[in-house]
Amino acid sequence: AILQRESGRERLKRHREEVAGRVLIPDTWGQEGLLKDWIDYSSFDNLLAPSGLMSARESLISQDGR
Amino acid sequence: MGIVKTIVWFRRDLRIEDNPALAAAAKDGSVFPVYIWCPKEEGHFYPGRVSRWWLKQSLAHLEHSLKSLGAELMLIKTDSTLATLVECINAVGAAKVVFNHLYDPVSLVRDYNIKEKLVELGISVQSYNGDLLYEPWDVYDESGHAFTAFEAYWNKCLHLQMEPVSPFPPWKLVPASGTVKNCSVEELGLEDELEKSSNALLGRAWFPGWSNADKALTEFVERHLLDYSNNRQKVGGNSTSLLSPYLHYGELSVRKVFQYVRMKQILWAKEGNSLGEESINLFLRAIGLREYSRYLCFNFPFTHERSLLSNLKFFPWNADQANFKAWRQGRTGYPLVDAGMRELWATGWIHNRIRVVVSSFAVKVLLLPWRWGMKYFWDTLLDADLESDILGWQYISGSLPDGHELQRLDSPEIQGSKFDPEGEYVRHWMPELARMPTEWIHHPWDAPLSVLKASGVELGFNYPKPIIEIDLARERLIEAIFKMWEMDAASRDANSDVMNEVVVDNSDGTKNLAIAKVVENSGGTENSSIPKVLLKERIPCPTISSNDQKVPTVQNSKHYPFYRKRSKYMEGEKPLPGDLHKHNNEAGTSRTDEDLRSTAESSSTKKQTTSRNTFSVPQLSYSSEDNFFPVYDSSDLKQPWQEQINMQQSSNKDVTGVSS
Ligand SMILES: Cc1cc2nc3c(=O)[nH]c(=O)nc-3n(C[C@H](O)[C@H](O)[C@H](O)COP(=O)(O)OP(=O)(O)OC[C@H]3O[C@@H](n4cnc5c(N)ncnc54)[C@H](O)[C@@H]3O)c2cc1C
Repeated sequence: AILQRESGRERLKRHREEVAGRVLIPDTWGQEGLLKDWIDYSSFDNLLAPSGLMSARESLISQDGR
Repeated sequence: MGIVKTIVWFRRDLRIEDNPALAAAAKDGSVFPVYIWCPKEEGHFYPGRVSRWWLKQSLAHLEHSLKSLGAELMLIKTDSTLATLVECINAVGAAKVVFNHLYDPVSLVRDYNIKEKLVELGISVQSYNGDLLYEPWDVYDESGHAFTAFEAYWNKCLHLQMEPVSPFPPWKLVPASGTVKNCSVEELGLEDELEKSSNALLGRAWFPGWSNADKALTEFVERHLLDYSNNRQKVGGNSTSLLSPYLHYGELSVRKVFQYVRMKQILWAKEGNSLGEESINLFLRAIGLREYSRYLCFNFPFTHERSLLSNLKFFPWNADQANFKAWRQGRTGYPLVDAGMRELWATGWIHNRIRVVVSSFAVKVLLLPWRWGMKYFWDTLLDADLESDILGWQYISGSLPDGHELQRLDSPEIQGSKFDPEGEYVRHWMPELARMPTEWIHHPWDAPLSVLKASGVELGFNYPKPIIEIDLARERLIEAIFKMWEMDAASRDANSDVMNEVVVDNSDGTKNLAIAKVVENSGGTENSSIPKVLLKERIPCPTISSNDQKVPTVQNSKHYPFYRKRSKYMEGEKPLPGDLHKHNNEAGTSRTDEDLRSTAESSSTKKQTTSRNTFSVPQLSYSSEDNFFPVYDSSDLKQPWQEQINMQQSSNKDVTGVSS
């Protein structure tokens, strides 16, 4: 009874049929200007390691034990 | 009902059921649910188009549901999450703010800062685990260290108790009244005008929102889970659960998924349904990988001197933007890769196998900085998830002890014949190759001219020639790896004084926690690729060094036969790429591997161990996809029937399952 109408999976399948062959991936992505910055190890890691990360972890852990 | 007024701050927990923060607030008194959209704070990890589209639909859905329960969801667009929370607190006269944890580094820091500030203002703040089966700090090995390999991690998890799902969602919410400047879902600006037409297509394929997540889960478990182990290899159809976007936004409680599937497992075990049991094991491992992605990010954050990924620090990337563009647009000349990139763009989702194929191609064939690919995935995946994305890219780029080795380079041609034997997937996404016969579909450059003509394919004109020949790519990859070693060695020499012990964060360890004390492995450079992170000291507390000794060194070196002996080369001349062959075989017969075998259980494992080593020879590496991660094939949990399957069908097991 739950599964009566066309399911999500079937819809996705149909979508795949419909779009295939009409896929146009645009010439520009929009982030090309940033690519250079992401070569360097440290610059990218700074994105993923905002300052205060270690205290934030610690705080979460100790709060959990309360 | 009490009189406590609580702000319930929704983020990536867009559901009613098994939402611990919402449940706690509802029990205490009246609630004021808010969703705060602050693009400025998202920074570099501002969600991509499709992910924002999903979010928008999901918020509308949640708004509806909360209204039915009696409370209105405030949608607020702002420049400062903190200021907005304070505003809400004042408007309502709330004394408390609750939310569910997030573990990615960006959210961690933001949440921490906000919590501190609110506490300073005299507001009580409580956060809950709404996203994981196990908190990342609750899973550690016998000596208290964080796991660095999936199998051991997951085995441990399966033996731990977990918080049960709270069986009933609040059936009625008492709204806390107050006026804040809120807006409609539309006004949040999650979707640009220009994006709407592309997004309209997505709306025909995907149904965001927690109740749709429930339906998707039910349908999957009742109809498709049984065949998961057989079907999950198929790259074209809907062979897996398709739950990843729901799980990312917390529309589905992972605990609920786990419990539902566990119930099935018990049933099927009783019926002696071994196919079902195998499928369940594999599916639960997939769920485990998601847990593991949080675990690694949390326990080996990027601040460490030597994070889990730092092995690629000196890799000489070929930062060629034209190549990147060809990859992005699906114009590499390798049909399987190109098909994958087109599907990604068109549907916002691709099969894990295809993710592995296209990401490996970017890193190993094109030598593109893996962060470029990671960011592109981040922008285009419906299920874009920082931790899983990072785990995936680490896995294929040799950054994980149990992932693909860096020098492994699979030929897309061979992978094509394996995972898309009839070429249906390629033909589906590449109309220009639609008439190509199966024999040539995965390597049109080898096809006779007459075949190309008859198929209407003109290489270099309506379909590109291979962007680089695979043999040349292989050579370049090896050169790059040698170069990386040299640079790495040079930098080690320069820093040799500080090598012995690096304590990154010497937390004071209130209670028995010594968080993130990173102790470099002692004893030479070979083993130092993985830092140790102490999560829990035992009681009575042993000293750190004695703890360390309990960890057998082989533990770390066994995964790195390839690196282990490299110092020899460093001393002498740069070896020719061909020497790598010898080099690996040497490692393969070394004592470490003998040790390794003694821990392995099945004979198939033994065989695979041997072949794996040959296999890490770049020239041969495409020859066998099947023999990966022998160590893990014989996990403690494996049933005898499973071992049998392992032997018969070895292609099904890749340790992390990431690539299977
Ligand atoms: C390079 C690369 C990048 C990836 N980026 C993402 C990402 O941004 N977001 C994302 O959710 N997954 C990512 N994955 C993992 C995986 O491909 C998807 O989770 C999976 O394909 C989703 O399909 P499914 O829900 O049908 O999976 P199923 O096979 O049905 O698995 C069920 C659930 O388990 C989890 N899961 C399965 N495999 C993995 C895995 N390898 N790592 C982490 N979790 C897993 C997912 O939450 C998934 O929904 C990436 C993999 C690779 C190799």
